[in-house]
Amino acid sequence: MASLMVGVVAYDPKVVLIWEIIRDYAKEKKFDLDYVLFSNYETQVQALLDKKVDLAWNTNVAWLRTKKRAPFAEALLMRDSDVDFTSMFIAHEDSNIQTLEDLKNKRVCFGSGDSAQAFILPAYYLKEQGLEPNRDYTMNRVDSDLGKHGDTGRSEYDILEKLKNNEYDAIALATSTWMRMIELGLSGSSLRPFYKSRGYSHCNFTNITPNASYVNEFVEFMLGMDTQRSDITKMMEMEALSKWVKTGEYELQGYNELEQAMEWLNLF
Amino acid sequence: MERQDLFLMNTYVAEYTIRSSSLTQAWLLRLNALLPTLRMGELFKVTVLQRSVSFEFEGWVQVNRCSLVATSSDLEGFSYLVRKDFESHTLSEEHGFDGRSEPTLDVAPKLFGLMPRGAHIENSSPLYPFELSEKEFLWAKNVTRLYEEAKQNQWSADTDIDWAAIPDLDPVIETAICQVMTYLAENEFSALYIPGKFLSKISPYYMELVMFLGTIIYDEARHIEAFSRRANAKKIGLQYSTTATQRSLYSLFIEKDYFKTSFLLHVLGEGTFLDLLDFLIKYAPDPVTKKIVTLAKKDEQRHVNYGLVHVKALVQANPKRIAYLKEAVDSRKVYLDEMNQENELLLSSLAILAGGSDEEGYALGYERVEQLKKRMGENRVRRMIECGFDEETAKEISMSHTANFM
Repeated sequence: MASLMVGVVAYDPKVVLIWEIIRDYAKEKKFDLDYVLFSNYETQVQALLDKKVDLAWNTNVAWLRTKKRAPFAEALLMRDSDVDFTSMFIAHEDSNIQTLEDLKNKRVCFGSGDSAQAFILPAYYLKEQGLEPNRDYTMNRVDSDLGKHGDTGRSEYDILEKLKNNEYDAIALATSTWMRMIELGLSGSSLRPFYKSRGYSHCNFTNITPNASYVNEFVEFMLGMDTQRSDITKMMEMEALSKWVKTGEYELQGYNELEQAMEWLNLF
Repeated sequence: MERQDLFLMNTYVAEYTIRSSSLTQAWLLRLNALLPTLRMGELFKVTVLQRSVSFEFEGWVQVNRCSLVATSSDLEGFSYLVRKDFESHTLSEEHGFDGRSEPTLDVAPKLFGLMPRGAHIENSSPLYPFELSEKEFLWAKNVTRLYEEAKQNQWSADTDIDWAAIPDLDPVIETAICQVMTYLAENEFSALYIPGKFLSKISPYYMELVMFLGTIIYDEARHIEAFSRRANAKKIGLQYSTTATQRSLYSLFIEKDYFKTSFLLHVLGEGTFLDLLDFLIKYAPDPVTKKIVTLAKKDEQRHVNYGLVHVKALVQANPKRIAYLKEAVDSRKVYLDEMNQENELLLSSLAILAGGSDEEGYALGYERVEQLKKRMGENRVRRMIECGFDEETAKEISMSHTANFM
């Protein structure tokens, strides 16, 4: 068995391609690393807590749940694209919805209940504006691919259809998903984003064993990737990053709002 | 520096104003297509008029690995200065094919794929398995000129050959012609497949060579067509293939080394063929056949010229390579010696064409074929000496060369 095992959730077939590239590269650099695929983040978090894996590539929700149960947990590394991740609210152009306050008494549909970007944070943004679900607005949700924490984006595509069919007045999703929808020609000509959130932090590599010897080695290995190589460039394109970044103070603060939101929604 | 000043200064290399009320697919394409044309760290300015588009544009910046350097908003809309944070391409300073310039690099760039030299390579391009990527082992100084010559000397088996003018010959003579044509077409298949086999392994960076090999392949296709049509022009048609010829071509076909193959095929094989074609030009019984062979010989001469310059350069750079080439001929000979090497059907047909079919004529023809073989040997030696071989080694190699000529 390799000396360092990384847990990764298989939310898409490309996850295997990405990690095969990383593993081959590690082999070449004489860094003994392997990966284990999990079908969902709950199992992965448990495996990390049970020390069946050394590190886990976690979503923000999985990270906060880990930290709740293992106070010494540390976030090591992220993609640059995990910093200042944002969500959006989308409505029909002619709906007179311009701000979050305008959603009062409206029907709002969110994505999966375990997706920070499509449900947890957007619902929290409404609460911050004084809008309580099912008192000030109708809260609906489409729970697709539960356990994947919104990684597949499927619930966001599902609610897009519902918005187009006028089943709801507004939906919430990740800005990156909306970009993909435009690219695919799914965004429709009458739909407009009317709100874009502050930045928050998304995934990170989570470690729960303080002072473990592999930590620095892993961080240096990842930060030292040769971005001139086509296999690395390809992996980075598939994983949507231009570089790995250390999780610092700023990045950690990017989880605070989500932590409050999860407390509020009893998601721990 | 105040961020506002960045807008005032000429810091950006491209500028767009998005007037539409959403970030359309068309705008997405335009923005996505802008990125490859910028270098890492370069700035571009985008102004959007609508708030909803500003959300979308900021999202685009985030997911496209760029960053906002400065933003400003006024009554006109929202302006962004965006920096590209990654390098997508390796720029080339070379020109592509222009009929003059040579590839400058000794080894093709690693990620050089199916593209003309001079194209800028995207860093995430796949790695093609182009095993032949070293200039020294591929390039010949005359290759661009030979490509130009090939273009100028194209001929057509349809329009350049007057098929109707082939006379009705004595059936014995016609049969001999058909046998020779069958043999020639077999060998031309070899000369078509072998460059084809290596073509897919050569980096397109050496595009003149790739294009020249393309002309060789088409030359051979034309020869196969013309020789087959000549055999089928009258009643007799294509004749016998022989194991001797097939074994010779097979032993060439399986050679894996491009340099060895270039020597065996272009210098020794096609070189020897020039003498054979001369022989046929002299003794072919009718002007149409003479013309086919004359046109084919002109093409073959180009192929030989590539081989000569290619092999000569490699041998000059390192004379020890002569032993390497000799080894190729010797090991081929070991295989060929297992069975009779001579295509007797061919030699007999050549004798008939050169002398006649009666006893006296055939004996004369036989003598002329023997002289042809001698001339072939002398010219092989001469060509090898031209490539930098010493005479003794050249003679040894010539003796070991296949009795099938190619």
